[in-house]
Formats: sequence, structure tokens, C-alpha cells
Amino acid sequence: MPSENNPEDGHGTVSDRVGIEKGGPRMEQVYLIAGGAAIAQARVDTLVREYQTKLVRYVRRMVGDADIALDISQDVFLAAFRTLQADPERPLTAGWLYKTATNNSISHLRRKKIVRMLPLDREHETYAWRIDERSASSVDLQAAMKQLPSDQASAIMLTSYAGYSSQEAAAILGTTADAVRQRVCRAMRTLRSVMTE
Amino acid sequence: MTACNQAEVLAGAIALGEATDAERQAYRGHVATCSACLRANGGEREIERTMACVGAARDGETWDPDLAAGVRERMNGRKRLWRTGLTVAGACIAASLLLNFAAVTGLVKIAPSFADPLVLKYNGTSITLEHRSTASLPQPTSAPRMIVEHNIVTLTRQPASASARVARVSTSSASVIPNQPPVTRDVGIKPSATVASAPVTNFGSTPVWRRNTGSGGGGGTVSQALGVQTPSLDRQTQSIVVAPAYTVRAPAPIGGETALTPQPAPIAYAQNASGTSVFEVQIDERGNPTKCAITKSSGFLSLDDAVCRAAMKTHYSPKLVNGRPVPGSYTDAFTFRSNGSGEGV
Repeated sequence: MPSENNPEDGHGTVSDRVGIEKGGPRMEQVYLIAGGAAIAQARVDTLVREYQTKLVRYVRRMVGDADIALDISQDVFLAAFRTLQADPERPLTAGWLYKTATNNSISHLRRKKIVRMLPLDREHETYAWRIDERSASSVDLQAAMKQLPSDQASAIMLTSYAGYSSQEAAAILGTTADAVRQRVCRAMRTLRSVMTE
Repeated sequence: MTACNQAEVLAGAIALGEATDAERQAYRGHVATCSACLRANGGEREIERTMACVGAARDGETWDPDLAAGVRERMNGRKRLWRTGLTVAGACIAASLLLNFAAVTGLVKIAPSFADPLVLKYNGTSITLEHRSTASLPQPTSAPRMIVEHNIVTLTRQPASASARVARVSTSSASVIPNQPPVTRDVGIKPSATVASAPVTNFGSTPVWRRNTGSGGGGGTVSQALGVQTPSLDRQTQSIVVAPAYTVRAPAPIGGETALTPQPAPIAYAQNASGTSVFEVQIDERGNPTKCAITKSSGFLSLDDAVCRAAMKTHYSPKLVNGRPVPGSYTDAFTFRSNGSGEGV
């Protein structure tokens, strides 16, 4: 009959099996917990450097306003920081950033629908775009984006604007690749009608 | 999935540049037969040309913001906030523990305090308060303990010349006097006096609720006028303001009670019908009757019907609360007597 305290039976004690440390936490673990915030901050800094431009431009197209795009993007990176603070080893891809940014943008657009009923809504278009960005295609795209429902807008932005394939965009949006293609087609239809007006 | 939906998926694949040759062929085959899809989506070339607009807009963008400083500031700010919150919470918990320890060990004596009276019951004429008092309790001997004694105190409103006004509030259910017996009168005898003014119950501009001492006190209180027995305690007088002043004017028929003239149908005379029918008519805020109900029947449908028809034909002055018209109800009764002359009609 194997004894619970016998280390030679291949099982060890209960505390050994579940990884409970006897006599308090090890020094390495203490350092890891203390340094979790620093590690998270370093990883978020890397993410910001790598993806900030693409992400901010993507969000600006979604919400149509530069200042709000900056706010939403900052929130996305801050959410990444909090996630990494809880688990510094967690792999955070660009897809995660785009997914969070898309959800935040859609939330903002929903709120904006309510606020728009009030007369305080300011006109975004005047300063959202730099003069050198006001090309015909840019204006057409933004005019179409204003008419698109948020699912179509996110589908066309993630694919043809951010450069994801329909499979990857489907993973970000939580749907199927065929659905993403269909949304892209319908968004393209609106864009086409705007261009031919 | 219908063929047109499938065509949308194929068009999307073409738009994204992901379509295989077979998919392009399938799309071409569909739009060759489906003019609606061709009109809506366009051909392959048009799809690609439209999507090129997106690429051109993306490539033309030059905005390159720098988020690093802002994000870092917010990350550090969050940490600072977290640390500050932790410190404040710790300080609060420590202070609470210290106070509890001091109270339990008798270092600090927590003085018993009077709580605000708690309203238990309010029936329109009197208000019953639960007064929590620790004044009459014996002083604590050892460790201080909080003991609350519950005294039931009844406070009664004392309006000026209330008894005189109560008598005027007779037939309307909108008044504060419930269960007043209905006034009966004979149809054949017209009262000479016309009651044009509706009864008004005014409780004064500064309503003061006083403790009812139960020893008379003028005999003019509403509770005494109504014969309502209210329990009381022999304590010192205490006054509190509990409600704003309000006036109620009951609804009344315009032209007085004689404005209602029921005309019973001839069958009533044939039947020698007699009896008292009590009716209640609902009056809206404009004074129009909306609904009539017989609350006590005379036993003859013709009489009840005549009463309600007369009540619904009359116009009323609406119920007024603080001068504002509100819906109310008016109750009256008609007594019919037959002299037997209609027999044989």
C-alpha cells in the first residue's frame, strides 16, 4: 500500500502534486510578481511602437474622428496592459488589439447614435482628416463608411484596409469567412453607389 | 444559401483578391443569368476598381500619431491610483478596527442618541410615530450596550374650527369623512335653498401636528369630532410639520342638488314604484360625469335608471385639490314615494 509521504511511489504528497510550496513562496516567484507590472509595461511599449499607426488609422476610419480614435486606441493599449499585468506570459497578438479596437469602436458608435439626438454633437469631418489625406478615394471611402452598419464597416476595414484575410478577420470578429466575404461585398456595394453618385 | 447569397460571397472573395479561378468562373456564370446581382455588385472589373479606392485611401494616409507617451502616462497613473486607493482603504479599515476595539474595551463611551421619529401609520386624520428614546433607560453599569425602547406616540392634527366644517362635507366621497350616510329627499318637495357653494375643507396654511394629550384640549379636533379614539401618551408637547397645507373642495352639481331632476318612466307610476336609490357618479376634471353607478337600488329598475340618467345629464363643478381640478365622485340619493294614483295606468 503506497504511503502518501513516500516520495518513491511516483506520486509524492498532495502539496507536491498541486505545486504548493512548503515554507512560503520561493524567492523567484516573489520577484516575478513584483516585476509583473514592469514586464507588462515593457510588452505594451513594444506593442504600441509596432501597431499604433495602423490601429489608430483603422479606428479613425471606423469612428470618423481623429481625437476619438486616439482615445479609443489608448484604451485598447491600456486594456492590453491590464491583461498583461494579470498574466505577463500571455501571448497578445495584433488580432487581439484589432478585436478590442473594433469592439470599442462599435460601442462608441452605438453611444454616438444616442448622443446624436442631442444638438451638442460636433461636426467631426472638419478636422478629422489632414489636408493631404483628403483625396477623392479617401472622401468616398469615408462617405461610404458613414452609411455602413458596424459589422460591414469592421469587415471591410479589417480585410482590405488592415490587410487581414477573410479567415483572420472572421477569427477577430467571431464569425465565418463566408460571412466576412458577404459583408465585404455588401459594403463594397455601398461604396460603389457612393462613387457613382 | 440562395444563389444570390452565394454570389455575394463570391463577389466578396473577388473584392478581397482571394477568389480562385473556379470561384471567378462561378461568379461570372451567375451574373450572366442574374441581372440583379450584376446591377448591384457589378462585374469583376468593377468590383476590383471599387476596392482599389479603399487601397488608395489607405495608401494616401500620412497621419502618424505617437501614443507611447500617453499610454505610458496612463499606465503609471493607474498604478498610482491603485496604490493611493490601497492606502486609503487600509487606513479606513485600521481606523474602524481601532474604534471598535476602543468601544468594546470601554475606552470610549458611545453616547445613546435620539433617532428621528419613524412614521408608522397615517390614516388622514392622525399620524402614529414610533419614537425611539433611551432617556428613561437605566444607565449602563458595565460595558455600554445600545438598548432601544419603542414608544408608540400618536399625533393628531388640530385644524381651526374643524367641527363646523366637517358638517359641510356631507355627501361626497372625495371628502376626508368616510361612511357618511347619504342624504335623502323627496322628489316632490323641492328645497327652497339652493346649495351652490361646494363644501371646502381647509386645514390652514401652517399645518402643525400636535401630540394628542387625550384630556380634552378644546374638543375641536377632527378625531374628537369624528369620534375616533386615538391612543396617546402623557408626555410633553411636541410639534412637527409633516405635510404641506392643502384644500379640498368636493364636487357638486352646478345649480345645487335641485339641478338633478329624475324623470321616471311611466312604468314606474303603473307599478306604484317607491324606494330610495343611492347613486355615485364619477366626475372628471372638467366637471363632466363619466360614469354613474347605483350603490343601493330602490328595487325598481325604472327608478334607478331615471336617477342615473338625470345624474349623467347634469354638469358638475369638479373636485378641487389646492385649487387644481382633479377627477372625483359625487354621491347622492333620491327617495321616491308613490301615492297609488298610478294604479291601473
